[in-house]
Amino acid sequence: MTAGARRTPSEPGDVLIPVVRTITQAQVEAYADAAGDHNPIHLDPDFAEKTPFGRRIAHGMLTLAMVSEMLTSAYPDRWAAGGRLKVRFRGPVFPGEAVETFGEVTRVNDSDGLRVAEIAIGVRKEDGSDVITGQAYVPVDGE
Amino acid sequence: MQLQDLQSGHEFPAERLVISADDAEAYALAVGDESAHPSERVPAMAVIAAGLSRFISHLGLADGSVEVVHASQEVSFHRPVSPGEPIEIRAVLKSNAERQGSRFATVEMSFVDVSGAQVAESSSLIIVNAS
Repeated sequence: MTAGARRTPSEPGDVLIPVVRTITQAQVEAYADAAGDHNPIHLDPDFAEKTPFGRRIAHGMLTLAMVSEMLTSAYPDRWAAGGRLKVRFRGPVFPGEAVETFGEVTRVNDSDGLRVAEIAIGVRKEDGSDVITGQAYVPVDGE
Repeated sequence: MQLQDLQSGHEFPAERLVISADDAEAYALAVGDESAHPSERVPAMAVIAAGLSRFISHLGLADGSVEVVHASQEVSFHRPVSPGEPIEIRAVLKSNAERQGSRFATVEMSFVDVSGAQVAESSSLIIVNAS
């Protein structure tokens, strides 16, 4: 199955439709207010300049929200009711950078009588570097 | 409350979390999720984000005195949360150790509805460096 198809991704090799977005500083500031995370590494240019990143970075949970959006679109009834994920944040996203989620079903397991899709997930920059990588698990019976 | 003073296994006081429809909409707008229906259900990750933000804030990790990096995240969702629905956050400091000048802390959170049923669980690893 290729991106853009409408069948629920439930077999190995099935690809989820990516979410593509350019993260802006305005978005970071809106997220800080909405999520209640006002860590200055995201908001204060003077503070951020003194960190190893050298400038402000987007919240990891803001970038991870794109993955959750992708999974919600692929599994509208199951992601928020039985889905789980495990990810590592591998690098920062700087405001102004474009990022894209990815997701591909790598196997389908039987768990307590349910078919559960294991999905390689993540977020990647335009230069090909991964900023988030991990796995998601979503029950696919009944989708 | 300072992170370095807490032992692994420390249980934080339970907290009440209510995400209104307006809060959910603000979150969906901020993350750019145009497919969300925040008036019907809270975007799944908004619940986890709100819990983690509270933990970081309570420990004084968002005041600029330290540098905090989010290293990894695990999440399980059991059911969607409705706007305005009261949720209780139960958080435990699963691990808390200093290595090579950095502090590595894992906080596990359970999000529970008024009936006592879990709606979501999370585990977050954060790394704290003196700024």
